[in-house]
Amino acid sequence: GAVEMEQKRCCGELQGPSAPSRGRQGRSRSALPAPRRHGEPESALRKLQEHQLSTDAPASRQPWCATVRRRRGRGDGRVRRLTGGGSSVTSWIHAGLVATSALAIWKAMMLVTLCESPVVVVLSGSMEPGFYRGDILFLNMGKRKVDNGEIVVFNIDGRDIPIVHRSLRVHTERSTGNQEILTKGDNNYANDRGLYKPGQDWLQKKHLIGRVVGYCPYVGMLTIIMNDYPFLKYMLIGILGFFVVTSKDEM
Amino acid sequence: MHSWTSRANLLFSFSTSCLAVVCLLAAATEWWHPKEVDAHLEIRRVETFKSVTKGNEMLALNMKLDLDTSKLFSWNTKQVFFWLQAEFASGRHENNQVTFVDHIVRSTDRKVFREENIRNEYPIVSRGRALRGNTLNVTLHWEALPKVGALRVGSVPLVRGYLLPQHYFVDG
Repeated sequence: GAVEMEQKRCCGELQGPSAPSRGRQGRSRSALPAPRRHGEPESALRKLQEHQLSTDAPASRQPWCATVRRRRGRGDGRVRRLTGGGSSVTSWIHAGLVATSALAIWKAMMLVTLCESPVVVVLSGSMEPGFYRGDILFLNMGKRKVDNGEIVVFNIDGRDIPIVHRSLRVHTERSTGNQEILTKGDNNYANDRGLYKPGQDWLQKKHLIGRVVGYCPYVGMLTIIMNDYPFLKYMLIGILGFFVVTSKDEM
Repeated sequence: MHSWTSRANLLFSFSTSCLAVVCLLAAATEWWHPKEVDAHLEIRRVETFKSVTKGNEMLALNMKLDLDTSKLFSWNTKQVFFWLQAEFASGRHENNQVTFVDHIVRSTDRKVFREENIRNEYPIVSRGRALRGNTLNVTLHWEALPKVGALRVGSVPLVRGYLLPQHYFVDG
């Protein structure tokens, strides 16, 4: 806006509607006119003229307007941006924004569902034919009591991987409201007492991470592949980082 | 903008977004599918009622069950998990819920059942001496697992206030 007015004033003619100075960027790179430096106006302007002639910007023949024109393409001939090397800072910031918004969504889900891990990937086949390896489950903990037959995800002391099984028996104490839960995988013959810590016969609500409320097939296969082959994980991060650094597109 | 990498990136992100929207829409169609079960259970007799370790009691029943589950299945249903649940209250526990029969019906399996002699798959075990002379409720619960979307559960009360015997016995 402001720059176009300058152009009209100094060039004395209207710009066409195809104002080439708008270009793709839509944002002026050189909003302020560059100051002429004493002692070198001629050569710089000549260089600029040559540069302009090589592009298809019309009505650029008046040299002293050229310094205030916005240029199509990458950078001005005369006015260099101070942040050299393309828009890498912007792309780093953009990548950081994407990463932190993903983290914010994850944390918000944790708050809403009261689970430490609101989305889990099924690793074993103990709940087939319902859940196969590589499916993802959406969890919700909530404050209400555990009902019998709910599919729950729980941790066992001494095991680092949580287990997804269905509750088989639930006993709710009258005085304290504590619940004792016994679980069993749909595809297993026996209940889970063999999986619990030695001496532990029941689960309590404190062992549960959440109950399954939603299901989506196959999406977790990527997580399983990256778990089984860690070099894929590093390669993926490396590729993403490479694209962030070398990306020249304005996001 | 026209490099193969940006094209691949755009294609990938667009296709995953489309897939996510399709999954959400498929999950949303379940809202318009009312789920009902027709079921009838009759407890023929108590087969085993005895005391087991740790001061608990165990119960085994013989039942007759008629079940029609066809209305539970929609195009988005992968399988339905059924279980028969015995509920009883005791002095120490306000609620005891014990699954004693369960079954998985996949969308390709037969959906109507007429079983004359069902026995427990899992024993009904109490915590402490809670079953003698107590009354038992039996409910049928179902959980529909979708191909994509939210799990839905429901229940049908089948037997209310079935009186359990006062003495232990084993009746093969």
